[in-house]
Amino acid sequence: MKKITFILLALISGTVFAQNSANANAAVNAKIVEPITITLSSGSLDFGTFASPESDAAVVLTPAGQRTFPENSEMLIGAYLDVSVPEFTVSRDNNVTTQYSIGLAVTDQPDGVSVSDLKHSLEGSAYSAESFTVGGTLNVPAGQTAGTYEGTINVTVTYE
Amino acid sequence: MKNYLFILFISLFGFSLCAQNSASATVNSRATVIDPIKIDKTVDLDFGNVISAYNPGQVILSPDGSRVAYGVQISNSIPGTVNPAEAVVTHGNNNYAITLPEQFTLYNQENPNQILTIDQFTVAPQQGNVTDIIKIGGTLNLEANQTSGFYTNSSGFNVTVSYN
Repeated sequence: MKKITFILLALISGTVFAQNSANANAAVNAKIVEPITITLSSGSLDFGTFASPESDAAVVLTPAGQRTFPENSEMLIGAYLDVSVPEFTVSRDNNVTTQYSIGLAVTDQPDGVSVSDLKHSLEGSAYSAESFTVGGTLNVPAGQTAGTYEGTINVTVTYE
Repeated sequence: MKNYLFILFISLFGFSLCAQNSASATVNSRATVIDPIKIDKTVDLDFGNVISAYNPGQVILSPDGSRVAYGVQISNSIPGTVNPAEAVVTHGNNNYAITLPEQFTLYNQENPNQILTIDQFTVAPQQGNVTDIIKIGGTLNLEANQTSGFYTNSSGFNVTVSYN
């Protein structure tokens, strides 16, 4: 029995040896990336000029700058074909991340009409281009009073 | 242990810089709506009284209301009601196009088998600021020995205006 007790003490001693301290060095690294920026390089979201519709109508302006009216709406006026889409330039740190996300929001709706379904030109492709354009849909009620309607949209880019 | 904690802290801090980094830009949206073009008829087209002849003939009614007859006669003493058609076009000071029919048929009120045709419609606008008055004439074609009577067509002819 005394022999068994001695063996247990030996094991405890062994444990003391295993917990003895050791040193190791680890490098500390940090890399700060350049902030992402976005600037309006040209244009605005301009749906152009058209005739007031007889029934509620949605005027679609694609990011490529193509405008369409509802079929048989007779809103199109041949003398007013000019439209505009805004182009934004994105500056980012390419060494850290290659892609970014895009957030689109209407921050100020025009009185009487509304902008919805904002779309950008990078949908379906990698969000790594240096620039993109934005389109949207303008909802015009039937018999909308003649006049110029203005609002604002906000575009946000974020590192992914 | 302290070294590991420091590395962990730096790693989290660095990741936080990337994830929260974003930028925004604002741009105007704009649209200009103009009133739809309108046309309202105010006066019907009326060639007045015409005297038929043994040969075919024509009566040309100009937008100014004057008549000229070829092959048939018109009576200056009993002209009847002579009017070019008249309509008001509301265009909001925008350019527009006028489309006139190629031909229009009138039927004898007593005998609908007897017809007259109108063609070569002409138009003259009296321009205003946001509205125009357009006057429309045409050429009335009579057959030889055209049956007498009152010729009309209540369905009217179409005049279309559209922005261009």
